[in-house]
Amino acid sequence: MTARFSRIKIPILVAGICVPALSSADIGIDISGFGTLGYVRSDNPNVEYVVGEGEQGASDEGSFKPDSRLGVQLDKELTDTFSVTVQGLSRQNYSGEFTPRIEWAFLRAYLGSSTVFRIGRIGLPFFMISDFRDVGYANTQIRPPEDVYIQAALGSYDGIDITRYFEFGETLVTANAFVGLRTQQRSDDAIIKIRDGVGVNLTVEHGPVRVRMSHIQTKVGVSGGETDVVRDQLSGAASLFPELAEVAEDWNGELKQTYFSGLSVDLDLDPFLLTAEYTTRDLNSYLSSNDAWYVTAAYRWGDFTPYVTYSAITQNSKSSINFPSSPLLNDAREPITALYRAIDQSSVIAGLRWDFMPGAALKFQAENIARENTGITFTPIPGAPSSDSEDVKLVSVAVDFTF
Amino acid sequence: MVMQMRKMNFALCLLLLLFDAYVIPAYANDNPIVVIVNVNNSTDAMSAREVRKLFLGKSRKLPDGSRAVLVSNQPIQTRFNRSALGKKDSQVKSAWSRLQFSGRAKPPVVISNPAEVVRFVSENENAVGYVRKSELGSGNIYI
Repeated sequence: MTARFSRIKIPILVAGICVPALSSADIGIDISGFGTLGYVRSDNPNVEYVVGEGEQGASDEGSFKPDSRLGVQLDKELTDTFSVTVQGLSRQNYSGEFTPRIEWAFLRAYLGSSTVFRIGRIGLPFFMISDFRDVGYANTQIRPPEDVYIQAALGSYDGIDITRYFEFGETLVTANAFVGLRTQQRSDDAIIKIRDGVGVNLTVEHGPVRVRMSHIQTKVGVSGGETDVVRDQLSGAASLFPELAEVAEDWNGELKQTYFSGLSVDLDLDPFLLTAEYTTRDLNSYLSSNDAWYVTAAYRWGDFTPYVTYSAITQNSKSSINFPSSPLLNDAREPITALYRAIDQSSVIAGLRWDFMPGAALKFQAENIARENTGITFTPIPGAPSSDSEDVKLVSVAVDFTF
Repeated sequence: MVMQMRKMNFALCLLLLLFDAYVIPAYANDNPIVVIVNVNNSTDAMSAREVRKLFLGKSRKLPDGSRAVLVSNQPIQTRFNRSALGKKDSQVKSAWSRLQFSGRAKPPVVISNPAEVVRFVSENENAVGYVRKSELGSGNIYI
């Protein structure tokens, strides 16, 4: 069986490579793609370092799962005005699988050379590099600083947006506004819902300076699975335990208003690069409200780009809870106390990017993460002793490529 | 064939820009890189800055307001990136990968045969490309 599989892989691969040549000639579809093969390992056997929504992380055993991914994009110009873009992405999902999914699929209409409408599944523009956070090659670091980017793991919405480009002399301004919603599976039995999403973002570029501001507000809720069990227990017991009234409110099952704002500055003083980003997430929910930011400095030295980053996340919402010891609340106790705990953490990161061939880069990265309790990017390994609040060191290596 | 070449060259309006002139004067006089647009496009001049903005994906607009279709001449791409854009190939590629994979803009079409670059520009009204001056042949050329 194994032998058969390995034999048929080759023709499939060959066919895959031939497709771009055939299709671009015959039906005018541009096929392009990007990918990362990344390995990350920590010095801690008791927690897993997780990236984004991925289920499995890296402990002292190391893993290829958190950072590896493959994306393929199809672009087709229908007319001078209309074009279609579809991007398929395979990266680790909530169940630890690499099942490919449609990350984006939209129809784009150009109105003149300065206005673009899009409708369909579109990237959610929370952060400075939201639009290409999965494209390792486009970024200096192995991954966008997770202390900041973990706040919004959801990558896209279904809706419509408008982008308008302005030029004022040497100053370029890009203004974007969107409305949308999204329902996405978050675990085998839970879904996340985003409704009434609206957002604006503005980028101003002048010479080497680029400044971006964004504000997004939506209603967010998670339902299904353990969430429903906790909610039912809380609502059943709320009248008996008045001290839980506030928490029960958080868990009443309604979608909660959420605000997200970001400000970033990018300075390209070749060969020096400086990037700083600040974000704030405000939820009236059991999901935490945070401020998070990072600063990165890099230096281009031929094909090598060494870089350093400092990033941090601070929780502003409720970080402790006095939970009643009643057996009525047995199922809710563990998830609730885990959610209402400080998740502050900060990272010192140093790395090196090497552009060893056109369209491909090799990166090495080492980091030290200080955390309060478990931190925000870690999950405890079941049965392992607690290592809460201990620093974790990570080393990562990745090859990024585009085609 | 000669007739055809002449017609093709006539269809091009040659813009400006002897990029190498700033960099390697001696060589530039012999065979500089020139930026070309289609003769039917009303653009008749472009600054070095405008060319840089187009080929770094910071602007999509030709001076006459139309949306540019960019074509890159593969054999001299590295030289163009360095002298006209002031960037290394990897920087240019990284910048375009941001635009491409965010679905915002399409990178320049890369053509490996200079004569094909000329043909592409002569057949696309909003095309902008670049070639060595000698690669234009000897038809009617406006500088």
